[in-house]
Amino acid sequence: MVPRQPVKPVPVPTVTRNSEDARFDRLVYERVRLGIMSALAVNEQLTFNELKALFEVSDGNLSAHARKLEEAGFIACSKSFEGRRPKSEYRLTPIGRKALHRYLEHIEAVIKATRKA
Amino acid sequence: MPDTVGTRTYGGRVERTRPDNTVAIESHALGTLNYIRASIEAAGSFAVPGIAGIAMGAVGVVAAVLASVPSLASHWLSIWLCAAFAASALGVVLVARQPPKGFTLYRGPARKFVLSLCPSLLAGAVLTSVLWRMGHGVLIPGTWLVLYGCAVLSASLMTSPAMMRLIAIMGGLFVLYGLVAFELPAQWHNLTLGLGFGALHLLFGILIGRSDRVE
Repeated sequence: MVPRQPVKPVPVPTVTRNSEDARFDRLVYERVRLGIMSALAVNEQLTFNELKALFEVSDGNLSAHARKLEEAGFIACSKSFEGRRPKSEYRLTPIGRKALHRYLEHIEAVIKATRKA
Repeated sequence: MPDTVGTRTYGGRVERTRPDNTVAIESHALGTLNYIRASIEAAGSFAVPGIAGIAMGAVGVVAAVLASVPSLASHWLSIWLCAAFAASALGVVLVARQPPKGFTLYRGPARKFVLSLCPSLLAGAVLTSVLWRMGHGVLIPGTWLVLYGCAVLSASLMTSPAMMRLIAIMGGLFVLYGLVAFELPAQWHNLTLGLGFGALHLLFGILIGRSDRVE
């Protein structure tokens, strides 16, 4: 039997993660939520139908994901009527934008650190 | 307890192994980054500011006026080529001045917009050179208008839904107008180009600017 080699530890990324980041991490572990945040980062606002078409998810699924992000304060929803049809428009909040930015920095730091190792 | 990382040997070499159900942290991070990038690209669309169309149209009008001056008539090709470079540079500067909507990694739609313009514009450059050298300068205005229209038509697919229709209509009009231009006599060419690259740009620049405000 070959003796087990000790695993070389990877340097920890220098980006400090706080509790807000941890909350964001838990939420965007689900890809659709991360996708919603990313899509809203480049659009001032997107309607429910636009998001639904973008991620090809059911109404119930999208609404559940959007509600979780909304409850966490990362996105804001405004409801209105277009004719007689209700219209929900989502936008990224400043907290959400900051959290996404930090999340991206963190991912980049992880990639850089593991590449160096 | 199962090993998270084990070892295996190939010849005399010892390599670290990973159980099948685990993913390397860097590949997970890369996958996440790629997913974010893909979401951004799918959701993003390129917004052309109306002012860019107006500025390009103004350059077209100035070029038409200059090329119509009798003493400069022999330089009409140089004048229009300079106008094309000036209008392109102005367009790029005005588009780049738009307020950023996203992170720096958001480059997809803009890149696609430019890339979809390129094939037709490159074809235009090659045909201009060939037609000029063969003494068929009379065909150049029609060629420019048709190929520019094709470039705009294909690039319109990369723009935001609100603008796509307007920009596609503008591209279509350029193509149709170019077909008409092939039938026009040489003495009308500066007017033809002025109406196309000047007036059409101005008109659609204003329309795009208005639609942007309404949105």
